[in-house]
Amino acid sequence: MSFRSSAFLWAVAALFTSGCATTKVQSPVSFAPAALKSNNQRVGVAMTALPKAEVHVNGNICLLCIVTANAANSTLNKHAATLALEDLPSLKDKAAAALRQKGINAVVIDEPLDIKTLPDTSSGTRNVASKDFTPLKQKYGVDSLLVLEVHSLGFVRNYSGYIATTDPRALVRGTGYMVNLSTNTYEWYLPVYVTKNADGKWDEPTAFPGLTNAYYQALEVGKDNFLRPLTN
Amino acid sequence: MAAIAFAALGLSPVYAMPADAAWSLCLPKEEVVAYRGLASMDMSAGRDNLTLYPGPNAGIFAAAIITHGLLADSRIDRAKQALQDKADVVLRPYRPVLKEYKHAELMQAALDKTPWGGTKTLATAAQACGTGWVVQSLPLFSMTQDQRALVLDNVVSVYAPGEMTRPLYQSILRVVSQPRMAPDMERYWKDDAGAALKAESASLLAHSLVLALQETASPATGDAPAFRTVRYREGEAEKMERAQVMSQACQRQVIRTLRGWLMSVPVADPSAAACEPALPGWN
Repeated sequence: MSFRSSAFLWAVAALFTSGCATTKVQSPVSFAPAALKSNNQRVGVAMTALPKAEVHVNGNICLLCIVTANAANSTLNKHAATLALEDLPSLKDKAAAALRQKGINAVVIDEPLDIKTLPDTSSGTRNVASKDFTPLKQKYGVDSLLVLEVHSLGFVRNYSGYIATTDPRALVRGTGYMVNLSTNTYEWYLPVYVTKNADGKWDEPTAFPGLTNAYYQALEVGKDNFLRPLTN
Repeated sequence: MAAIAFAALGLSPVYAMPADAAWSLCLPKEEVVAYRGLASMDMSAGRDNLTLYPGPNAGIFAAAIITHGLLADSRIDRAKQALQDKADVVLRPYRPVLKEYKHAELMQAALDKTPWGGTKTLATAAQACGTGWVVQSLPLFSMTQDQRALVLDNVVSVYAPGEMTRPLYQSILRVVSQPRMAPDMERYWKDDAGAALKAESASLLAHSLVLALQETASPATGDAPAFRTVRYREGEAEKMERAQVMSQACQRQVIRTLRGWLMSVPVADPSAAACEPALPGWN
């Protein structure tokens, strides 16, 4: 099973073991005017490793319900695994090109950024990153880092108990942000969440043309959403 | 790739309609032309409440799940219908015109604009549909929410002479009009008893018939273009479709979707060179 079942189980476990601890939710941050100006600063542009396309099951559901949902969507999940990422891996190159258009010295970081290896920050200060990015200043020789993270790709379907409450929809979910590597603060933070329904019927195994079309539409819109703030 | 439309029906495109063949267009049974507002179904996600099933025994437990499933399906359908009803509001100003707009008027106008084949006639009586090459068409028009464009979905079947049980060709063709940029779109479409609305509808229908007949006459052969995500205009909005680009000229492109259907759509780039007439024979 390649669904997010295990993530869900870990989330449930974390809920019971962490008491009333709350997670800080980062609000969107628009680009500060100075952040997109040419001022001899070097901006690194990086992406995290891309996830594979799969079916994500959402909603308030029991563990047995998850197993049932996984089985019900197994044909679609198998199809999702065959879908291409297209030019998504080169999104950082397009982002860097957009920054260069503005006269900014943008440097593409070739290797995938592994956020999990960065230390957590304890500061609850507004717009301070929850991970400490500052060691990357020296590692990559840049003053700030623009990160494009795609968290989820594929399809999402909502469930209540054993029953699907929505048709599957194509999904692209991620976050774009720029961190000042001296202050570890966000100079830009943009959640990206794109869903697209199939045009007409969705349940067309095994090629799922309606949902496949929706997937590539979501991919295109998702890329646009990441890049639009950099090109405006 | 035209074979897709044939293959979907289990038919073989081994023989084709001659390009100069006489043909007749059969009137649908429905008298009035169907229009709707173009709806986006992207917001039809339901709520996710935790459901607890009563389980004193396996039978009641199963019945509870089945009931829940029926209710959920019904809710999804209701949500989609609600979105469609909301989208249909865009047509309110045009209802007086549309309720009087009959297929006979639309199809005669479209036939007059269809530059394809030999002699062409509108078969107004059911018995007249049975001779020669016969084209059946069931059009459904949609208006974009910004009222700048019409979208036609046309179910087209083409029958060879003497064969009215199995179509030689059957497919759904979608044609999106060029965006009209009049300052007052309601007046633009409504003036002169809906003359612009009717003329645009007839042009879209004629264009879709040309595309269908061209495919029936000369199914494409050779290597099919690769699928890619094609951007196009639908009113003022930019839309996308995963498709093969079959041809492109004059601010318009014909693409084949993943379902094997043809779409004729305005290109996304508004600076592309224009030429007239963009429809119905196109290029």
